[in-house]
Amino acid sequence: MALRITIDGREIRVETGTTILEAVEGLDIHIPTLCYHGGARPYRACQICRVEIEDEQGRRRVASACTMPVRREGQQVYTRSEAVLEARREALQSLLASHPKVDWLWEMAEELGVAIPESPVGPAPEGCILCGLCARTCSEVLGIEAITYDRHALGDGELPLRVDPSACIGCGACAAVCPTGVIKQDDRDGWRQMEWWGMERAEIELQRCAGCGEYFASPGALAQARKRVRGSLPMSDFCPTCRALAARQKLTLEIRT
Amino acid sequence: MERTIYVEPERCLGCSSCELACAVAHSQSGELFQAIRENLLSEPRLQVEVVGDQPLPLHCLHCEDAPCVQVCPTEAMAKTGPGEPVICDRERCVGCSLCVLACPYGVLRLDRGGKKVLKCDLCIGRLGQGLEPACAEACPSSAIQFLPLEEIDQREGDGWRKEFLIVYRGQAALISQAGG
Amino acid sequence: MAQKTLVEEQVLIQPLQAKDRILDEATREGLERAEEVGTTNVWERFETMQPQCGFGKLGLCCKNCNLGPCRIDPFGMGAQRGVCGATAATIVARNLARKTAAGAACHSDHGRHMVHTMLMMAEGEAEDYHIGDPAKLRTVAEEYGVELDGRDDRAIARDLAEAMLAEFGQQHGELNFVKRAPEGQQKTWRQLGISPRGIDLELVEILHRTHIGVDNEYHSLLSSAMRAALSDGWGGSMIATDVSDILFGMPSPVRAVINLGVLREDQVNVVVHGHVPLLSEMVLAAAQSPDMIGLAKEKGATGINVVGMCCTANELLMRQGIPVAGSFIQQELAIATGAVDAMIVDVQCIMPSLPVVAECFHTKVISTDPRGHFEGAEHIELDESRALEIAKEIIRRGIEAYGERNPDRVRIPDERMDLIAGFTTENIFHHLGGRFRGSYRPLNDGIIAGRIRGVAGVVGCDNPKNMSGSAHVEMVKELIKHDVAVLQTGCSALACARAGLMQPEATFEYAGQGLQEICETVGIPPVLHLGSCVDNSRILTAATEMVKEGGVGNDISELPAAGAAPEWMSEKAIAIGWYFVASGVFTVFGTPLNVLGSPPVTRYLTDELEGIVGGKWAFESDPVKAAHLMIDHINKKREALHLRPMMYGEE
Repeated sequence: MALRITIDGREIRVETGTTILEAVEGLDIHIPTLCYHGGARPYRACQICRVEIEDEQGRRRVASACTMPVRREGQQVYTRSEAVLEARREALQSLLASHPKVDWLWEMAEELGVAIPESPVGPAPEGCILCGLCARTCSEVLGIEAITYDRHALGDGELPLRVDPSACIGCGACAAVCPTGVIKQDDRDGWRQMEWWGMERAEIELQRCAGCGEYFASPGALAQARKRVRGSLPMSDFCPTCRALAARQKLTLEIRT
Repeated sequence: MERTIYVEPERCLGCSSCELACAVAHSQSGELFQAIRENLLSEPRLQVEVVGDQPLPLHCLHCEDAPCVQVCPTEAMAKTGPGEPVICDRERCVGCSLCVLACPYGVLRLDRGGKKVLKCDLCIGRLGQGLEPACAEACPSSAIQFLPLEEIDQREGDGWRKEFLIVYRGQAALISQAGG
Repeated sequence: MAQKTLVEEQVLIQPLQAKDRILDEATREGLERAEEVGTTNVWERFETMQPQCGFGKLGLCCKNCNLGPCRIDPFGMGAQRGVCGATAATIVARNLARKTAAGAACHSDHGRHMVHTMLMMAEGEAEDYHIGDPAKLRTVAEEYGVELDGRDDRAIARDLAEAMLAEFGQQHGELNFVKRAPEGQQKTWRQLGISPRGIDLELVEILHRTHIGVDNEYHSLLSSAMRAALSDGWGGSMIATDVSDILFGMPSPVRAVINLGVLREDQVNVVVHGHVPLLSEMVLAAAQSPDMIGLAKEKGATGINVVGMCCTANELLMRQGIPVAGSFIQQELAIATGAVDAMIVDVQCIMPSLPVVAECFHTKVISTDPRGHFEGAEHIELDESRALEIAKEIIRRGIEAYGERNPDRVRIPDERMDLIAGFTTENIFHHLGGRFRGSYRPLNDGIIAGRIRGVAGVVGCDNPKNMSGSAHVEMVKELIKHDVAVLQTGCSALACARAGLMQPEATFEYAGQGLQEICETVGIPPVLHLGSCVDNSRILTAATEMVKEGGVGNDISELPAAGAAPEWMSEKAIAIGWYFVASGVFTVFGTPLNVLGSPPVTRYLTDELEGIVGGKWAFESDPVKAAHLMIDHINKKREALHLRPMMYGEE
């Protein structure tokens, strides 16, 4: 049965059950897609083909055009409303977050005229998914602010993550929280080598244990620990193994004497 | 806590059954034969080492005014109250190692994955099921026991309660060095 | 500030204990009585031992030299090599090889003892022993190339004994009974270099190999373990079985009674416990002599009640239909009934705690073997040259003790079960084929036609770690439900007999349709008791007969068959498991061998071995799941043989 619906103000006739995406075929109304292919079942994976539909009471909601069937006589559909653009922006944001090195996505963002102010703009290093955990950990959690998130860099197409190697205390938290391992910490020959996103480096000389002489801590991290403890930190110049040994010696004192 | 761990060092035979049981108790499966096949192998939270010729398991003492709690930037290390264990919320741990550097007894270390700290939790999960801590249950020579506080007070006086939650026989020498 | 406790209640709970897994009523009652009396028992000691050492369970502990003792950390943080440099695989394999040798040594030494006595008898030095089955004597003697024509039994027996004894000291060649195995197995063993050369040699070599710095490679170690096991299964055990048949007669189907309820308030109760029929048959003969019975009556008893425990019970049961008081795990409970006047023991599986339990009562624990001594027991050593005389001395001690029995402290659980035992490879022939056409044909045809799915051997010990015997019952019920005919030995057989599975009635209550039909037609129970643990060699020869009869596989590895020891305890069980695996049988153990600490060794045992010897190990503690592992395996074999689908459908 044929229905009359309105898309962006234009009235068209379609069969009941046709999807909105199918409905605009051949017309000069463009609904962008990414995961849709005429030869395959629609999958609603990319969320790019969002459109806004209106019900009888005039309430609007966003839906995916590839799978939304036309069922109601007089249905209103909008393909370029504010809500639609917002939805497409969100979809692209999340795609870019997972695949920031895909140029094609950047092109689509441009093509769709979708400005993405919240999202990082610009190519990111291999493996970095721009989750921002390193910056949040170093700055907000630890208050060291060696790694920061520079929003102003967004508009210039640069990487918004910044590191000041000289401010790094060498605690290794950024490497620990990085989900993709693109921040590296390597301890070797008394030096801690930090590498951020394959782009920046720092070398921190480690401190030797006052007891056994093994390299055991970054001075900056040790200073932070001392700062945060109320009162003094016993045996702070000794490595954990020596501290444990001392504790064991005290605890077995009674047996040996 | 009505009971706590009491260690008698001279009974320790250095068999490391406590380490094995601790690792199993903190594994995914909680069962020996499966635990040894897990992807990220579990690790014990306590270590048995020899001092002179006396082996000794060194536990986290669950200090009353724990330095690890003081330095933790995310409040992952926390004590819910006096006389309670210090527990690390692994979700919150960012692997900064400040607690490792702060612990006066060197009982903390990062796990083999390098992202989270290994912290004795006094087997809080097992306690909730009415079981003893795994190390106490496993110790074949009763070097590690899980005893009522009053019984420990009888042997050690009650001075230890101000400083730690775990007691070693004759712990006085350690107390004078703790905290402040 | 309110104190919030992380744990609300700290009531320490008692987790389920081993004794809570006991299903047999008599065992339960017996244990209650033991607890009431306050005596030590195996279940209480098991709990005290918990938790058992994880390193030991995994096989990662080595005490072979003074560089140690060593342990490998299965979590990878501590030592990964022993002080000598051994890896987990080396340690695990060395330990397993030593245990195999120890187990094989028991069976083979038992065999040696039998042969030695046969020699003494043949030379007129042990007049109390006789040839019980001249026909079997000749059959076996012929296999050893002994001249038969025109010679009397004694001469033949002497030569046979000498030939068998020689095999214990043999240094090269092959053990004689290897020839009994199907061609396929013989070829495999020779190709792999594991055909057993000499009985004692194989064991000594394992002790050598497992010494520090000798054999450190697990394939090599485990091959030697297989060879040692084969020197037991197709060697020492088989010799023990055959010589027992020769001396005491071949068993034939017999009705008997089992469980603690066979002890009697009105008679002198003499329990024979251990393994070697040289002792138990003599004790029985002594107890049946008129002078001893007279003595008992003088003391006020109505007679002398000889009952058995453990494997020697099986020996007496199979040949004499003597009642069985219980299995390994019930041994202390028998004494705790307060009704046992003498417990007479020889070797293997006898708990050192027996004299301690006996102290609570009037019971005399009497050890008889030079190799088996117990603190607190009286030692009256059996001298084969005066066997009956010594046996009478022992019975006399029992009758004396009866005089000290306190009837008010006697609590015998009123539990008794009938059973049929006494099946052997030879008499199954006749049962299956009838008097005039002894043959395995009906069994094979039953398998081919899909009435019988296959055959399973369920054997071994009972263990508080599992279900104190009831795991056997659960497994066997599941197997016969699925039309698998079950052959049993040892304490496993006793557990199933206790549960009533060895009565003809069991066929209708528990067996599947197809199995029911065969059992009904042929007149056998679905579960056949083949004897003691050395009589596991009967399962080997029965399997060989099935192969010879044809149609169900060209060698043992092709048979629709499987084996299991769901509650294994002893090192002997390990040796038995190995000789079945090495003979091509899929074998399931109820708790793992102590090998899980080395994944490569575990993989080798539970997977790769099948491609090498046709058999492999599996570990499963749930007896029903284990039964299904066996059923699945049997189905696989059926498919490979293109046998007809099961007549009464699949479950």
